[in-house]
Amino acid sequence: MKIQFGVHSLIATLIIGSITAIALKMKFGFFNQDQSEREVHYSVQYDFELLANSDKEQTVKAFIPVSDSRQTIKPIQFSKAKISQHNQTNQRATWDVDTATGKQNINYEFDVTGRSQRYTIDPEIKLSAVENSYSEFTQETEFIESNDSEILELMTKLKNEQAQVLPIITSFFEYVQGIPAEEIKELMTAKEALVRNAASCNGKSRLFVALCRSSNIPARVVGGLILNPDRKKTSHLWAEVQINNVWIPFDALNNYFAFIPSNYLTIYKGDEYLVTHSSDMAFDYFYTIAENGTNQSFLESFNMWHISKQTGLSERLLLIMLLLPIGALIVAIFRNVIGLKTFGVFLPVLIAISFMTTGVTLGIISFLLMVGLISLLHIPLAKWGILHVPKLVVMLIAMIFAMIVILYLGVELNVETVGTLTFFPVVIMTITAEKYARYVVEEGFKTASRVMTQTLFVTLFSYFILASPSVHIYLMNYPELLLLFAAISILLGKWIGLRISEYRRFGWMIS
Amino acid sequence: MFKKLKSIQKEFLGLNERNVKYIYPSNKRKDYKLADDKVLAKQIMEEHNIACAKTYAVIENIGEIPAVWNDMNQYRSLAVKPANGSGGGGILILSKSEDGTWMKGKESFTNEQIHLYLANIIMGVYSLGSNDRVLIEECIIPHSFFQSIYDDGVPDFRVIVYKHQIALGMLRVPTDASDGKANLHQGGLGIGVDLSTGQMTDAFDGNSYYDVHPDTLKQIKGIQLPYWDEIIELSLKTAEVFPLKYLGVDIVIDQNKGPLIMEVNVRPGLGIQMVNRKGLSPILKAIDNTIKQAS
Repeated sequence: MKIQFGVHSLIATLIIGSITAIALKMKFGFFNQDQSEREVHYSVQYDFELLANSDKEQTVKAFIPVSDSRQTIKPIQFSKAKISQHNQTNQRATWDVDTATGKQNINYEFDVTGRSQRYTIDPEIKLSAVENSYSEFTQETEFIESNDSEILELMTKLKNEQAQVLPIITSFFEYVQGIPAEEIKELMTAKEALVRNAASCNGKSRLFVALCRSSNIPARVVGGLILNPDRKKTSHLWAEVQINNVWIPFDALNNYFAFIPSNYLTIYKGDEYLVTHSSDMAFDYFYTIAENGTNQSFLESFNMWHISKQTGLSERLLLIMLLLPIGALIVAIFRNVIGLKTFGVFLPVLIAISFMTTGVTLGIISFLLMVGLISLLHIPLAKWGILHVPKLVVMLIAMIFAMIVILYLGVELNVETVGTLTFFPVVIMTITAEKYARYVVEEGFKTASRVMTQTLFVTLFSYFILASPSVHIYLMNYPELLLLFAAISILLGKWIGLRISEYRRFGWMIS
Repeated sequence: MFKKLKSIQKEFLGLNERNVKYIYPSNKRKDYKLADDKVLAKQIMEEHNIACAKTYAVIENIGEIPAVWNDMNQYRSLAVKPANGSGGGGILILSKSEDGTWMKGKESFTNEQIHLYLANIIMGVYSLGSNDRVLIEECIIPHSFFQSIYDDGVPDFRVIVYKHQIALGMLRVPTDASDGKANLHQGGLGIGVDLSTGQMTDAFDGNSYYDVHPDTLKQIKGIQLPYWDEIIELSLKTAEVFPLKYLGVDIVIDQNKGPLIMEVNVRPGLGIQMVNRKGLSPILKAIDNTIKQAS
């Protein structure tokens, strides 16, 4: 009885522990669709270093970020500055340079909490509902040449007489996104990006805005920083389009359509310079960005995105790690509750996971081909009386060699998917195929093929669960789900009911 | 429908329940090997003077094979077994022909072929890849009683002993389809036995019940097994010397020596329920109850 109590309290602890953690995470909204949607915490510092060359009155000006719906800014410390509203949307700090001293440092430090935001654009919205030729955001500017004939010509071509806004913007976005990315330090205008057919963030953003403006859709560029632990000079520029009075973000360089990731710090709206200074000085600057992990609670950070980021392990690797026990549990249920036979417990799981890369069709074909190959090979090897372990080695070599041949032929015949074959768990496949071949000898082809069919069935079932994106997202966010699965497994291990197949096995005797 | 499912559940023992309720609590994991390993099992039986086939040799290393096998030439017939084989896999029965070559039935074996066979056993072909030992023992001559039912292979008697009481028993007889083997899932015929009298009941081939052996048509139902009291006594004595409270005991009857223990099994199969048309669950519960009342 004492042991029973131990098992039950363990099960209860596992269930309560995991469900509590998940419930708390849900309550506080600690749930992300993917890495870029994770809430981020950074501290950012502007470091300006300057040497005044004359004793004239001189200033340094920089835009500073403000809090909004998706970013919270908390100033920490800064050199004495005048903060002013630059226009309706931007705030700017102005520092007077002390001409008496020589070298001088100016700092502005603040904490950022950033969240991602995704927007949906109603595909029904008509262009006519958005067009506004009087807005300041549809006018041509020095760097956004929206009235240029070449840009107008491109706009007309891309617009293709469509009436809705969404397909038009999509077509602009795809065009700009398709321009080869090139790292160019100098300011690049919309026209230059178009002519050069290569651009960095600012060229792409201006061209995208120009295309919108040329079709009378209000648009503007937005400047800021991409937050990652670094000390850098590079700032970033992206675009916003106004639809139904909402400014929707687009970044054609990093391929964010109507989405802004959590680590984009918005600093100013409009085509401005982030930092300006009087001409008569030597000036250098850096943006120092550090991650602020301290204010993140255990619950908030206990997820696979965080672990992936901190350890540098790939998200996919961590995901597969989590999928393994779930697959094993599925196999256990099939074996102990339904009563299906499979070759090994982990084999169906591993094959299911490899199907995630190869795809089901190619996966099943190669699975059956390889089992067939090994079975054929088993006949002469057994007849010649080759010892067991060397026989396994021969079979493994045959399997690998067959894969090399398939890869070679795949390349020759231009079959792109063939490269995914390497994800096949060859060693385990070989052992299973050998098991199958021996089963054929000992139990007959019928029994062996029945077990193989059941193995394949369990594999496919596991595949459809393991490959489901929502399973991935929940596991990455709530790795504590594994504890729940552990509890289910213990319960399953204590379950003494008849397997479904046993009802058939015994049932016919009653009646 | 639901009622029927319920009654199946009540009557028959399934794999899950067998493992969780009977095998795990009755048998300590570290004692499994005493039954699983035929060499260890025979050591225990020999220590306690339990009748079993005589051990001719145990081979542990591939290097010993030629010398040991050479030594085996003194015998006319013998049985080669992997110590850790399961379900009768890997058992080879050999006998010498007139001119001195080893034969498996009508198939002759060269010494080289036998060496390879023994080496494969040691390499673990029959024990899931881990190294194994070869057990070579005296070849049983089935009692003439069995020859009258089916004249090939070695029939054996299987009882399930739970807490030193016999729960169910069956006789296993080879058929034309089973290639001399008596195991149920290899095509052998299972014959139910009335434990109180030692009379055979129905024969079961996995699909239907018969009163006679389906190949030879010899009468089975109602026939008395020879050595019945000795068989019961030997099974209980065997269960006594193993530290296992739920086990299958396999007994053969030798023409000259009478009942001999063949092997013991920690995970005896559940097909015995079909053979006897009787579920194990009520029987095992009754045994538990009598013990509870006694204490």
